[in-house]
Amino acid sequence: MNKYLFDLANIRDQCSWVHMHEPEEATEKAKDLVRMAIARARKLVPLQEQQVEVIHKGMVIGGGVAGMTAALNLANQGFEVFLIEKAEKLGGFSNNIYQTIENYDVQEFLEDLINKVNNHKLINVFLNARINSIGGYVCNFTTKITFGEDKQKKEFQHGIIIVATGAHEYQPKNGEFLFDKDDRVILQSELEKILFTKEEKINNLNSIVMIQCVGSRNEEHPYCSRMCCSEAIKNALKAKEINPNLNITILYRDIRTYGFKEKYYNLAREKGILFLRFKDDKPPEIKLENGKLDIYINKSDIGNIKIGADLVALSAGIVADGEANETLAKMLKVPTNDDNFFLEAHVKLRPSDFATEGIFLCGTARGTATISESIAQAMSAASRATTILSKDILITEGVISKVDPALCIGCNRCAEVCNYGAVGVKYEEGLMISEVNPLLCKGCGDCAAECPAEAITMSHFGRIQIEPMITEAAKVTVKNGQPRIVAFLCNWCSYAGADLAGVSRYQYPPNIRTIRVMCSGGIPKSFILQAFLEGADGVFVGGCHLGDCHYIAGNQDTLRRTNEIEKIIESLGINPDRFMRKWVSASEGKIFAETITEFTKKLKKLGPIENDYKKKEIIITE
Amino acid sequence: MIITKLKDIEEIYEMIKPYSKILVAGCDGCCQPPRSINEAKVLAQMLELKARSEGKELKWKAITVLRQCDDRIAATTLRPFIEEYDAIVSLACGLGVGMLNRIIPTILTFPAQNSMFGGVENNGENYFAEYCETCGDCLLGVTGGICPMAGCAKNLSNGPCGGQVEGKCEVGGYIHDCAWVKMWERLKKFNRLDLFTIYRPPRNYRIWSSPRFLHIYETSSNVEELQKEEKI
Amino acid sequence: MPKRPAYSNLVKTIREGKFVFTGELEPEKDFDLKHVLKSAEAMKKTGKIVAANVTDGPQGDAYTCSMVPCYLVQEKVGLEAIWQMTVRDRNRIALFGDILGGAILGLKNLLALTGDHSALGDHQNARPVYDLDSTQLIELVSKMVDEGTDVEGNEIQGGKPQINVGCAANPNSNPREPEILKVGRKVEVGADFIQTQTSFDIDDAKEFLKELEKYNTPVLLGLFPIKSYGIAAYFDANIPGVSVPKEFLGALKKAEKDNKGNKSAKYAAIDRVNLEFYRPFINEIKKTTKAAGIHCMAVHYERLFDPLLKDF
Repeated sequence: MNKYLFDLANIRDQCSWVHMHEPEEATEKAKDLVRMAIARARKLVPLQEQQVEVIHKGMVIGGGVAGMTAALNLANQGFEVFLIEKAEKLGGFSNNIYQTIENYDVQEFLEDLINKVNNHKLINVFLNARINSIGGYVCNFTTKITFGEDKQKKEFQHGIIIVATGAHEYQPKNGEFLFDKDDRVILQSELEKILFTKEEKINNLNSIVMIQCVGSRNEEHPYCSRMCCSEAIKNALKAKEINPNLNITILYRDIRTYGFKEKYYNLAREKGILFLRFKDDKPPEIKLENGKLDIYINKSDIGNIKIGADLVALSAGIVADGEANETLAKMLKVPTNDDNFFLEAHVKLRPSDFATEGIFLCGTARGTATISESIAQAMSAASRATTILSKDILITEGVISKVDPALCIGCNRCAEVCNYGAVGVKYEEGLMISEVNPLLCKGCGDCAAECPAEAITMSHFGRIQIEPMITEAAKVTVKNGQPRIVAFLCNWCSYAGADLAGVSRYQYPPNIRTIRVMCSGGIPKSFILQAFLEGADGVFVGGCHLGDCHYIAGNQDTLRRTNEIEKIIESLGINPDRFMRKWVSASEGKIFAETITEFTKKLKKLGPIENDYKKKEIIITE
Repeated sequence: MIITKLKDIEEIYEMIKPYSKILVAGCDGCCQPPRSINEAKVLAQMLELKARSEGKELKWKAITVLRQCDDRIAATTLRPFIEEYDAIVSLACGLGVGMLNRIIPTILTFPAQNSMFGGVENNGENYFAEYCETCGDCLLGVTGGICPMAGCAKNLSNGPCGGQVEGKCEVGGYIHDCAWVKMWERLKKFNRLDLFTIYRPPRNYRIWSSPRFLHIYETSSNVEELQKEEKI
Repeated sequence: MPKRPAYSNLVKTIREGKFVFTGELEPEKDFDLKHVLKSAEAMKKTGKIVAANVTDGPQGDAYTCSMVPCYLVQEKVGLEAIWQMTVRDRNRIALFGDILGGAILGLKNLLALTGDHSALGDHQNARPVYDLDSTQLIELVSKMVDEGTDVEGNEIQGGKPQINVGCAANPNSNPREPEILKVGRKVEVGADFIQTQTSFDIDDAKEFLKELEKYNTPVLLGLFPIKSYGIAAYFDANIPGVSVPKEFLGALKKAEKDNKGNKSAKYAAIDRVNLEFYRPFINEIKKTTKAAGIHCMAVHYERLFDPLLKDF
């Protein structure tokens, strides 16, 4: 039997275990839950899962350390890789790095890595490349590029994409710290180059001042770039090594040599490198007087301290290439965050994946990272990609949405609410009708709830299945002072939370009848209004907490729709306290029980919904 | 598209108060946001709830029409249901409401929406802007594509006026672009400032005054007749 | 295009090569025009003001129509009026009728304006007319005065009205080029003179005047002597596109602060600030530009005229 022809009446975790002190009412509720399950089961249809053949090739965008590591990882497992690099050589940002703070020789490592990549049979490297278009979807992407000095064109197909486009060093502007105005003010990367390739230039210097947090932790870039403190201390230690008589002062807000890098901070202090702290709102100032560079740092208890410098090194932060990232993000239909870095599916649970299936990310394209962190991320991304590439066939969700092309009016609202780019009007193909991509659809039902023409059917949890459940749930023969609550709970959070209440035996009143949906974003307003119309005294909508939606942002649409209900409900003659929307997570069993208990209490006081209808006037005549 | 705005539920309810069976008709045509079958259903549900709160019962059916402004499409779609209902609530723009009132002789059709203007979506900023006032004398060919009727608060023919500040119009708090400054920018870009500096004499407002009619001559049935009257 | 005769004293004096001054009268929602006539008298007394503008529903507010105060100022005070007419509230039929009426009453100067939108005034739900725009209004006046017809070419009976018509220009406009091109159109259809909005920056003003020189039409630069710090601060904060120079604001503030409690000293101090700012300004304009004069918008601040204008 097709596995989608199955329904479950939750008469244990959400009935007998939570209404232990009201056995009769619990039994009545169990009967109702069974009736509701039958009402749904009658309308269930067999669903087919999609099968798609996987193309066992990958494309890596970006030929820096992260990109090359990911490419090698995939190639070593036997998958052909297309490595796309926009510059004329591989290496990316690491071309400017000579040594890590732990004294590893980066240039040697880089040379070795580049050789491995160039010599690998399965890696195709394209330099001076530009991506013209990326079409298709997971298992079956088609990419067109232009590459080389002679602008050759190439098209290839691949199963996955790894984004490793990197970031770059912040360039101070508007004469910040006299950067473009005086040759003696340079960036840490430039200082590093001098220290490791032209160290004689350091010999005659007397004083180097380093300024931290340039272009970081400010309004434009509110984040900490994480590496500049290590970079500064690395350069300071090297400089001291070359010229032990050098006076080196590091001006900082906080020193963030995290983890085991802390020991290099200690080492720096032992070597006599001075650390002076400045307040966030009073950055140091550089003044040029009579050809001398003076740095003023304000210490609130003492006043201004003046330090003369022969060389000033600015620890500039890491910034994303906003324009390039946006262009690529649009092509891939993936999001970027407020700081223009690419945004992963979930920062803790899925850090190497994009929400869009088949696309992965690693390295500084995602945010600040050291070389070793980038390597780890690249291996993670490659490993994630392998879960797809190692298969011959990918089987997708059976519970997906479908568009009836005859009913579709081409308004594209579905595309606007879909978090996966799985549905939308096919403009490029000239069809002007929306279509669901069964490989990308995750089955949240948001598009079906949004479609004004009801052209989209959500399988398994659609209108035909849910509307009869609502009728059964709201139906009460005799109210007896007991309010009836119809609740819509999302599968991943609130329904699981209700189950947890059961497992933990948190008790709550048996007035509630729950209807499970995949995502609270799949609940159209008509479900809520239908519940009220058919006799519910209270309606409850449960969803995941904002920011934690299993379908990324389905609950944003829940918020919007339930806000509209809340705004209008009083003018419909219904007491607004009869509608409640709450975010309940899977771990909040106790909160679920307490919420339903409170809600039921409130509704008992309000009485049946018939109280809200105007009482018919009784005219007494003589 | 015709940009419409839903009326307050109280106002719509007042209109249908005397009736107990209503047909709620959505429209798949151009009005934005789309008010198709789901919107019709939700409106009907809300009206039923409101009627109940006034002690009344309201029966309804929600239906949608491909284009309410087309007489044959509207008539064919709605004809099977007219007899069972006392009134129609239309979610179309004023054209649809007017059309239904014309082709359905037995019951009244009430508007659920206010038709605001002919406009398009300003995607980046999430609102609709008026693009055309159907003035009957299109100037877009000599203004670089910027309309002085829909875009200029004063409908100037020889702007800009002295009220613009940094290219923003004085009406609306200097948020909206001054159409004439936009026109100047575009014409300058395309090297057509000659179109900007010409003097435009007083407009023909007769073709913009209601009620307006447009006669179509090309149907084959009346060509002979019109030839006789020397109308063509 | 040959210039039309100088029907008004304003245009006549300008064409004689004199550097002229005009003032500004602002009737409000007034049934009693006493304050307007009083201001007009004060202006007349200085002997330096050749004509005064009478505003027409500024800021979109419903104020006394401009025609009547213009007539009364000319009849009762003997000061020539510059009749400001907006196209916001009247269609071409009413405009024609009003112009003819004003001409019969002896009004000789008309400033053709678009008019601030009614959305900004005290009747926000009113339907603005804008049947003609200000340029088309100038053409209408030209047709009436030069050819003796209305817009459609129908002849006026009994003679041609004798009016000189002017237009407005905004020295603060940004971007500037479309403003300059617009003035070009107005001159092309027959503007006899140009009056500008207020200017506070001498270099900006000189640049603007230079760009208008190619139209060979006399320009009166608008200046705004401010009689209190409160007014200056309000203007600076609320009138978009124009800002009062910081030194001017600061000086006014100081003048008020230093003389708190002593009215006459305060007035004298404020007058001094204005004189110090504007006397050199006017001098510079007169000496280094081809401006035909100054439009002095010192509303209800007539006491400044004598000391301000005595050397010019």
